[in-house]
Amino acid sequence: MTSASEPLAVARPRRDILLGVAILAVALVYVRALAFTPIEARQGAAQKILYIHATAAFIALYVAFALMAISSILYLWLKDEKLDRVAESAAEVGLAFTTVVLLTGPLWGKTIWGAWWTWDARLTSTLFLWFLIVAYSLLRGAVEDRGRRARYAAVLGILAAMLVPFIHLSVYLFRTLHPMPILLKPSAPSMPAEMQVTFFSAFVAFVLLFAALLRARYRIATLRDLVASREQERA
Amino acid sequence: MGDAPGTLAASWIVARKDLAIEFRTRTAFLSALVFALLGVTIFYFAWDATAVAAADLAPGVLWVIFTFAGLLGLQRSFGSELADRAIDGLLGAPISREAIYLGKALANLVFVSGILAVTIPAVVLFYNLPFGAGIGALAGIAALAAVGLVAVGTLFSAMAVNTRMAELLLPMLSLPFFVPIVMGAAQSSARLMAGRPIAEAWPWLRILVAFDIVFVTACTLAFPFTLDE
Amino acid sequence: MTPDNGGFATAAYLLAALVYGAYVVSLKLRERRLRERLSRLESHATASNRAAGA
Repeated sequence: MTSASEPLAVARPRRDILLGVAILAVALVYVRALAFTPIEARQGAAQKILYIHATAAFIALYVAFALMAISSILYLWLKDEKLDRVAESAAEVGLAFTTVVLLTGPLWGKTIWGAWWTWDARLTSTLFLWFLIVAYSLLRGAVEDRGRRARYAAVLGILAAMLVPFIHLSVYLFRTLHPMPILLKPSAPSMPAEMQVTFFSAFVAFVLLFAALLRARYRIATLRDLVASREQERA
Repeated sequence: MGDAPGTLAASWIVARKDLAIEFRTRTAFLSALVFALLGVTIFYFAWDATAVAAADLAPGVLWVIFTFAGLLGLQRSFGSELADRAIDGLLGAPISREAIYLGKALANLVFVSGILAVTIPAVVLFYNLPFGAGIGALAGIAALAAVGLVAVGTLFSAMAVNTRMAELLLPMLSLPFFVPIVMGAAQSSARLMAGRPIAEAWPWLRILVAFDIVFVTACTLAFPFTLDE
Repeated sequence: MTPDNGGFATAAYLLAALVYGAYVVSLKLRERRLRERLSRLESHATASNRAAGA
């Protein structure tokens, strides 16, 4: 009954090379951004917060949250447990990134707007993203049965994905103070070349970090489900 | 035995059953009602009446109280089925899963509308709102807001009731979704009650209507996934 | 006049490192705890298998 060979692959701890590389990349970006990137004349040194704030924001919304929503839809369609574990992992890692956005944003905002917080479309959507992922995690924690937990979480994940653009569009009715995206303008970006290099290096480094964290979190989900199955077998 | 009832007829049957149970005891309705009235009262004392006119505060107070009183009503929505696994009876009946959802949502809608029917006049009274054409518009906005609240709340209530922390979980899940409703309702009713032209309130009403359409559809489609079968 | 707000940048970078770092540590600890539980369950299983086979 016990397949002794099956769990060994997961049970043997391996060195996480991806995570090591990601952490190194982030450290290098830190050094480059803080010491080797020019200071923006109008905004001052605080402008450098952009490199960690904007990257975290992009990854939180368009990578983590999108992955969570897509895996939720796919789970309800295909019923594959692995998809549920991906959704769960994307949510938690996304929460870490969203927290970084919400902590670094006000620090930057204070220097350019003079206010710690404004209720513009982007800030508000990010705050809601945070609330929704917390609610998602609490819902998962409150449901014992694995199948039901996956289904409930998937439903919430999909509804949450529908709500965030709704919030964004609604709040857009209010005047927004958020700086216009200077890299995504149709004309040439208004950042000098050195800053662009730093920005894209930061992007690559944090995407690596996201991938590494996602994989580590997915491993935990797999282990947890394995432990739960084994404990049920014994009972 | 005749044909199984169509979805709409079945929803009405489910709704009537729920409302009959509710009407027998009336406890939940009366508690939610008193809660709403108390809330409206407490809010009045919560700030400096000389600094802000009561009429300016009224829309905000109304819609905040509306969400919390609505939550109280939603809590009881699936609670009655939890006892003795009565939901199995519902599931065994020859009605579609969507009909169960629509029926429960309809019952909740009646419940929430009942609360609003008393709370809105109370707000008009306590906050000295001008009693004019704005009140009719307010009723319309209230109807739209109630539909949205009930659509989302009924779905989450179905999920929350199966968990260990239902009373905490339902607000946590629902409140983010209530925000567009409150935004649309409060902003549009504030402008209409202040006598502004309807064109100013229209963008906010559009949000409310859009929310209702999108989320009533989404929640109806999602409901079957919350059932264990 | 370029404003002197380097402190904000330092604070932001530190906070980010703290959040990501704490999360990495949390992941590592949880993984270790789960592996310990798994190996305990595995040793129980092989022990009872041995006892049953003997």
